[in-house]
Amino acid sequence: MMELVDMTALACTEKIRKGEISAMEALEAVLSRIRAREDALHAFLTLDEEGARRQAEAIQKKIKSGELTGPLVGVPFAVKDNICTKGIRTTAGSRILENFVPAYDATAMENLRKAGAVLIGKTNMDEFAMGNTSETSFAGAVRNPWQEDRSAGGSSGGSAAAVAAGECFAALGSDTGGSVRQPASHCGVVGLKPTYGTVSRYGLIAYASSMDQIGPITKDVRDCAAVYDAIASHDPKDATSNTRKRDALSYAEGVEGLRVGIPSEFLSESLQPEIAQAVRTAADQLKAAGATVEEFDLGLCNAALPAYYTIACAEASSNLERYDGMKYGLRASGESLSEVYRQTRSQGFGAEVRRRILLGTFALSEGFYEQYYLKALKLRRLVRDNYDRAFGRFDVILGPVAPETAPRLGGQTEDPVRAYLADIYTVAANLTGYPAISVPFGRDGQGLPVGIQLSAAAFREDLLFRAGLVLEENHKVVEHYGK
Amino acid sequence: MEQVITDEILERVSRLAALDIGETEKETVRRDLGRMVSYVGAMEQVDTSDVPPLYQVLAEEEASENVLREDEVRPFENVAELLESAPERRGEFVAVPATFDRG
Repeated sequence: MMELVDMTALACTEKIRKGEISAMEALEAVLSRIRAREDALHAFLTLDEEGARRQAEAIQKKIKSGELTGPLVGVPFAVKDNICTKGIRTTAGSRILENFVPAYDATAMENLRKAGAVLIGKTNMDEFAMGNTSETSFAGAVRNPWQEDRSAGGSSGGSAAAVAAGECFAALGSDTGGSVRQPASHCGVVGLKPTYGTVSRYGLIAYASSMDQIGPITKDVRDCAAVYDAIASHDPKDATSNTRKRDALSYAEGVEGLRVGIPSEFLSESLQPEIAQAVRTAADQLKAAGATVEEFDLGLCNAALPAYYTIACAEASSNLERYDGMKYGLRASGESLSEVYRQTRSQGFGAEVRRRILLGTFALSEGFYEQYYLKALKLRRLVRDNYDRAFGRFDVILGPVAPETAPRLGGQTEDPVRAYLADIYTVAANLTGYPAISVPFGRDGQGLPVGIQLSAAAFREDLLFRAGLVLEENHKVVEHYGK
Repeated sequence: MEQVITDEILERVSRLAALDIGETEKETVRRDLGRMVSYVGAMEQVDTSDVPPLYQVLAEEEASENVLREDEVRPFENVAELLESAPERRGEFVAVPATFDRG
């Protein structure tokens, strides 16, 4: 029989709502799985067992009294450590915030609390979400639950690994260039980057504000839709939060008549052949379910990535100015005020964060601004225009999430740029603001999960859920959780 | 065009970013930054004349429907905890190193 922790979030809450199990039993099941696997995985930076037990008790009372009835009541979940949690340490994977305890909850976090979910802890991640292997955390790397010598992907590697291993039923990540979708793909779970502005960024520690977006990491598409529904809200505390009403989550409608496009450039020779094959098989399944599928030339695929890195690093260099050792976080000692600034930042930031701050500062500095930053913003418009044209012809774009399945830990070369190339398929959704989902689609010859990416026009998450549901039907990897 | 990261550029950028680069790591940093700059420099291969920059996605369409609200004072309910984050405090104030040298 399937263990409770290997069930989906919705199946778990169904049991809680029917009174078959209590919220506390669900929590204890998860904590016992954490005891069994966490030493090896290192998916969490902070666990709050006592706080979680208090929440579970309080929520159970509200379920009994009928005060809480939603689809996520009592479900134990985890949150990436760059999302502020009141009274619980929030480090963003950085030494500079090692002892930072927020005095408030992020809005997405608050929304999940209102839905009755139980926070169990904060997940490991690349420092300030800068990376795609979850190795740059000040506390050390996350390990992939499928094969522990492999990366869980990144930067939300801890959230993806925790969900895949049954250490929680669902988790939040953040996605600036693929940081929800790519680790979800590497760990065999579902990850959504919602439309920019649908989930409030209030309380999310900023990396690149024009592209950052909080998103769910879950065991299947229905769970994903449920968490998305719970966290998406208009928030006056986030100036870019959207007022546009979201489409109803009508994933029961299927994909009959759905127009699916595959950019020919996505199936290039540098793509792992098994992933290219998975994309073709996915196309066949959508066709069999009534969709039309066509290959087309998207264009500009190689220019998007350098534009993304220029913009992300420029915004990061500005956003990370706040870590000066004055009001919160690490403060190093120094003879003068400016030496305190420099010492704090030089000791507090890791190598990759320093590199990105330097590149961003360079791209914004006098004499280089037009050639780099402004150029990137112009390319951003061209990329967006290309996607707008594509979404005139197609409802959904189908492709890979990453060029390869999970890489070995410690396999990074000396060249920082090589690692950036793994983001080639994911950054466009952040440059355009459009939503994209990563859905597990079987495994490669080495037994590692393969993910498929679906993207759609702004506010059309409903199309992603509909198509994603068709794909996952025959390719669930859920049964392998926990080995 | 390959952009060379000179000593002068490295010094200026690290000063603007308030990051110290030690003598021992200087060459590594110069090499890494050089690789990153030449990688993003590939952008020049795409013609963008007459293309206006895109600063913010999904904001342009909504510029016509600006969302305004009253500018009300709403006190933060958790000031004590907020102050606890400060590395150094004196009473209700955040203590910082002297901003000016006492001459």
